Amino acid sequence: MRKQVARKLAQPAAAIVGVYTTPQALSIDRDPLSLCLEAAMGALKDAGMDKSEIDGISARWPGPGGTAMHPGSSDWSTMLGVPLRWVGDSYPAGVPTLMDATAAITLGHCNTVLVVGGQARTRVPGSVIAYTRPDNEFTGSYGSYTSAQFALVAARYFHKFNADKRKMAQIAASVRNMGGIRPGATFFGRGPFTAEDVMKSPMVVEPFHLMELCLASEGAAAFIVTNLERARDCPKKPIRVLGGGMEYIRQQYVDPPIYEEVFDIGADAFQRATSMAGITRDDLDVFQLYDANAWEIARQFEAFGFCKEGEGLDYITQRGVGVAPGQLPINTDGGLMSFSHIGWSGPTLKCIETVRQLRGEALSSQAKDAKYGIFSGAGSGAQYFNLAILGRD
Amino acid sequence: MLAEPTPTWLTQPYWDATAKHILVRPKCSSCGTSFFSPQIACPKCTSEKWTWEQSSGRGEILSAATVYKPPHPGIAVPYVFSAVRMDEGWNILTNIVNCKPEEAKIGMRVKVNWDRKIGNFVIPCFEPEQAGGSK
Repeated sequence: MRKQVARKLAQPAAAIVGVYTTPQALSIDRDPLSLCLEAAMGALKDAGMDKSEIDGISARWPGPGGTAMHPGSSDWSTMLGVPLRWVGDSYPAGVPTLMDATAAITLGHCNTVLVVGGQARTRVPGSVIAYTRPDNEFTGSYGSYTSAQFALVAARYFHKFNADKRKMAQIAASVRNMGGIRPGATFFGRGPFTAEDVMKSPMVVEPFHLMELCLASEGAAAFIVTNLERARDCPKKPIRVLGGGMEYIRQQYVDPPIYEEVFDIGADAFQRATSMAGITRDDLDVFQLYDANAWEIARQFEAFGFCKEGEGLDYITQRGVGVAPGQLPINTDGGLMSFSHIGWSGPTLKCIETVRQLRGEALSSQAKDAKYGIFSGAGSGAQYFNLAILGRD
Repeated sequence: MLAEPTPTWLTQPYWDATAKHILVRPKCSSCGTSFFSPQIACPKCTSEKWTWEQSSGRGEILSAATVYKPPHPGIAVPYVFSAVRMDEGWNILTNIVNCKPEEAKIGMRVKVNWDRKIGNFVIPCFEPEQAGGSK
């Protein structure tokens, strides 16, 4: 009833031409807006652009008003001294921001969009970070937080399929090991870890050990999207936005996520995105998937149709996670579990690592000749999901 | 500390009922659907005509996850974070109490428990249907 299929999809006409991440850490004692400004200027430099070329900005956190985390009247247009033609207010960053910016550019509302965000000085000793425990009158009195909500989905999965939890730990170890060798990652220099190490880390909420969960860290990230004509003149190889899709079931972290409603969230978006991009799942070379926890990676491989429901952990661990021939290049920067998770802009890091892979700039964990990449945000426990596909010529 | 609820005009009757150890949920007057959390209209037929109806207080554990690291330092662990499917076909986020965490299994029958009070609020939790001590 709901789904309309086989509609001719418009071609996105935008490319990412500049990316930048500041160093990421568990705690950064610096004005968050200053950190974001560093990222913005870094991305511009990477794009070979002057700030005067920016005529669109999407920087919800902090911004576009910029007052959410900063006193006074700072906003991005004032701070950069550039008048704008388009202001995005996408939530969260990452895929929705990229798709909105791409649509604005494709339709001609503006030419070049700066996407920027990050966080610093957020930590409260002893508590999980504030945005991971969204308060609601039907959740706050039950000790709810984001990982516990995801755990409700995963717990029913493991119950239903009697899946091997050691394989989830193996995926976490493999992803974290790529973060351990990635300069700038929060956990750079840590590891290498084995599945046993992961399973020996403290249990946070069943079935997730600490090392199977994402970080709540600090840092900033930015990228520049522009039209295809301008992209051709940029110093770096343009990385085209080929497709994307979103799904939304309901408000996150209020009503409990029910496995049977959320287990395949992303399947429909994946179909539409690959159709828009004109590729199949087998064309995808790199995967920067939202890893709120290690199990969620396997769930996405199931939803995308790489394997059947219940077989995701087997599928991934049989191939192995890494950049050696035959392996699956998943979350090659260490993902949200090791590179960083900077709140609203955490998914932006996924976009940037995809760009780095397709440019051949992924340093320590470069997938050979990567041409098409997918990245995603949110997931089953959040009851919404989004993904985008990038590619190079 | 577990958070005290902050009701709105829409949800106040729910907390008025729990204070009297009565569990209620919105039930659509047009199509009969029970739903939760409260919304201004029925999620099935969008009718704004619905009433608060008493629940049997019984249901089944859809999922349960034992929490060892709480969101705030003042919350005692472990506790069982759970989604329960009520017999009237609505779901509630809750905690399973009055049993060992490992006993709170998916598919287990549960009934409402009124032992938790936060400030002036009574918070409905659930316990095994076989357990004694429910009021």
